[in-house]
Amino acid sequence: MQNSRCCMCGIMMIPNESNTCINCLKSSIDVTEGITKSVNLSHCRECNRYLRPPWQNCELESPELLSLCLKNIKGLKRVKLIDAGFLYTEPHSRRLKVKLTVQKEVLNGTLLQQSFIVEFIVNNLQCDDCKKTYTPHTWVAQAQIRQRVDHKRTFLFLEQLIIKHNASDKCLGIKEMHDGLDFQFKNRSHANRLVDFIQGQVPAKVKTAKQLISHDLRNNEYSYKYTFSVDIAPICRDDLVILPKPLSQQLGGIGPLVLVYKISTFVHIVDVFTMQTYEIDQATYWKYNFGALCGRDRLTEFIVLNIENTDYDVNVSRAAAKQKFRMVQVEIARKDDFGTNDKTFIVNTHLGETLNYNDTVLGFDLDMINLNELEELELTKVIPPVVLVKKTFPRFRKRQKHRIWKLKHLDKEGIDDNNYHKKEKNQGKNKKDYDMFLQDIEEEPELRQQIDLFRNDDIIKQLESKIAGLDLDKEEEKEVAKPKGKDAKNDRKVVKAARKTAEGKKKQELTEVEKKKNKALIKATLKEKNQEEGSDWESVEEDYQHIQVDELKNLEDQLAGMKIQGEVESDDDNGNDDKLKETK
Amino acid sequence: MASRVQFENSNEIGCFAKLTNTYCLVSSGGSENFYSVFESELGVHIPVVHASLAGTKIVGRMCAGNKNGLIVPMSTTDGELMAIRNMLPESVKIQRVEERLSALGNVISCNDYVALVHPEIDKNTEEIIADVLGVEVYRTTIAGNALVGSYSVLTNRGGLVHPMCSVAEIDELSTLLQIPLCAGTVNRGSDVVASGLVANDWSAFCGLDTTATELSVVDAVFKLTTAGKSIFSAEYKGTLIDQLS
Repeated sequence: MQNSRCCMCGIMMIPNESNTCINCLKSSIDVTEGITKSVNLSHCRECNRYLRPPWQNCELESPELLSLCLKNIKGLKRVKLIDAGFLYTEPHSRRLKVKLTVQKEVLNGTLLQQSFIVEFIVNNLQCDDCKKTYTPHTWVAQAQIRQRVDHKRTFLFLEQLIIKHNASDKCLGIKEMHDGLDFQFKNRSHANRLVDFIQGQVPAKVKTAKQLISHDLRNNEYSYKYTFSVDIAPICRDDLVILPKPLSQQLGGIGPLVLVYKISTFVHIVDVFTMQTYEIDQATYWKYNFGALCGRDRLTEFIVLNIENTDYDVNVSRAAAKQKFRMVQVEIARKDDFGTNDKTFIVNTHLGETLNYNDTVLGFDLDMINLNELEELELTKVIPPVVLVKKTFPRFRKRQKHRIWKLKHLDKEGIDDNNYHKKEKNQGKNKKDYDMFLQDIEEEPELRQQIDLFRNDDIIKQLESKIAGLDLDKEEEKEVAKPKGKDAKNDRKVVKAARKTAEGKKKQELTEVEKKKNKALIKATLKEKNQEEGSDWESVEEDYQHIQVDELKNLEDQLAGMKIQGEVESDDDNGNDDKLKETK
Repeated sequence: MASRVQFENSNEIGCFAKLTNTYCLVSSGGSENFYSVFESELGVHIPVVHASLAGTKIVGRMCAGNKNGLIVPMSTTDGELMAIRNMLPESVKIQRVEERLSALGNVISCNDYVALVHPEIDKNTEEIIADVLGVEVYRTTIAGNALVGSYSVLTNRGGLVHPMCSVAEIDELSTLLQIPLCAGTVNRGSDVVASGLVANDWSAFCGLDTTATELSVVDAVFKLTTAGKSIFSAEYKGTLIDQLS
């Protein structure tokens, strides 16, 4: 029905409220009136965040940035937004262009739609958080974590725990100090949280202090700086300790020469004479506050020559059952003495479950170590010539380059050491500590459970390229031919049982593949090492070939059981299955 | 050709003036400018009278009339009635009516022969209209509106009605009235045509906002131009489109 003329242009049209045709309406009414066409955006170039407010992190042309831009356009509430999108602008131009389509009701029932472009000018503005990081002394609370020992082992472990549990997320800055770390926080409760976390992991003593910065008597407002001084017990795993006499008596005459076999919130000790274990709680520890007699740096290597079971077993403690300590009598010789003399020692040790003939084992050679405290003790008690601490795998020590996993690290500010030589020395020592820590992770499943490992994709790629060059099947035959005794038999049983079900079959295939892969990975690394120091390997290791196979197997198991976090989840599953079967 | 005129900054000149073929009423007390526009256009032919009805300026809405007569509401004072009587020609009958719908201009729309009235108007009033104005009276609505006086302007040569009028309705009305009708607007799209326009057989006045297009529609329907000179004729169409584009 076209029976009236537009009052502006005179064309015939369907009459409407304004008696004006759409074209004339469009030309006479601007829907975008009152909407800002040019907007200033604040952008922090340090952290790449835009001010919404609050400061928000967004990429160019991202939906987040679009919503932020729309939020900053004034007058958009009066119209209905139909469409919005970025037009391409050069990133360096510091301009963003957003094309908007809006609708507005101009008369009763008449909707007008219009598209237009809004230009955003990106201005640089340092955000509050960045300002804070550039200003010193902005922290309100700090936690000073200290352990007064000459190694960094505990802190390396704590760092991994903190990363895993994200305990330092509210932290403003982390500073490395001579005996530990300083964590700085915006407020007191954040610091308290970290302190509580650390107290839940290791035996530690906390002292708090506060310093008055300013106060306003009228409002009764005070601002303080809080300091938490966390002192971690200066005692570590594998430390040899002489218990103070009263404590020894309190614990039922244990020790006094004991070995620390574990540190949790308790100090776990084992008596080197009786192999009795005990857990000392924090309160008791800080009451007597004993230090280590000698630590891990004093360990020497021994070779196990003979093992004999002893009838004598006082393994009654709960922890002992858990730890699977078994007392055995071993005949050992120093590794350094091989080829020079025939001096051997016969000692009792708690490592009965793990030791085998011809294993290498680490221990404190008390005959060689000169310690005043020991001499005093010797007057009243007989002390063993050697205290064995743990089994070791010397041949895999040199494999450090090829770890298929890696660790994350906290962002720490180093010590400003003016003394160049001292700095150099410290760096060397720190590196050694770190290498030892990585080794510990490999050798101790219990430690691995507590922290997160991440795939090192570079190394895995390198190794895989090497596997491609190996003849897998041939190696496999060799492996099967080797007698494995009881374990192998058990393995076969499990395999048979699993094959009975179709599902089991599938799983079996998968695990076979996985096993092959793992084996190949290890072989590749071995071969690599072989090439590096070929002659040495041939001559020295010839006699110990079966030891080598055993160690290989051990490491293989470890790798299979190791939970490495990464993109490929199925890998993990297979690895766990593998382990499950072996434990059956 | 219709003239544009404004009453004290208002474009609703149909409220303030009543134009027929034999007389013209304009409201008294306003600016003399408004009056002089009518006077210069009509003065030589018909009397242009200053008037007020019931003490108001809106003479155009209060009364209805043609060349034969004038109907005013009961609220018109005797003085006002006398003043109008004195100024109008002898042949024009003037009658007060007792009517509930007292804005007679809004409920009656007429030329010299036919009147359209509000459907609910009084029977007596209807008779008076027929007698005084000498017209046939039809009760009707325009585009669904009962206020026929507001939404239509009629002369003996043509009529302008509300833009929403359907073609069928226009056809029906035009058969009743025996004149051509056209849907249109005044004052830049206002559909209350009677308030923006007054017309008689040879002249018309519109509000100042009326666009050229609307003016040409008015000229065409009331046949105020020399034959075929509408801007909608073929020769003007080209230039019109040029101007718009």
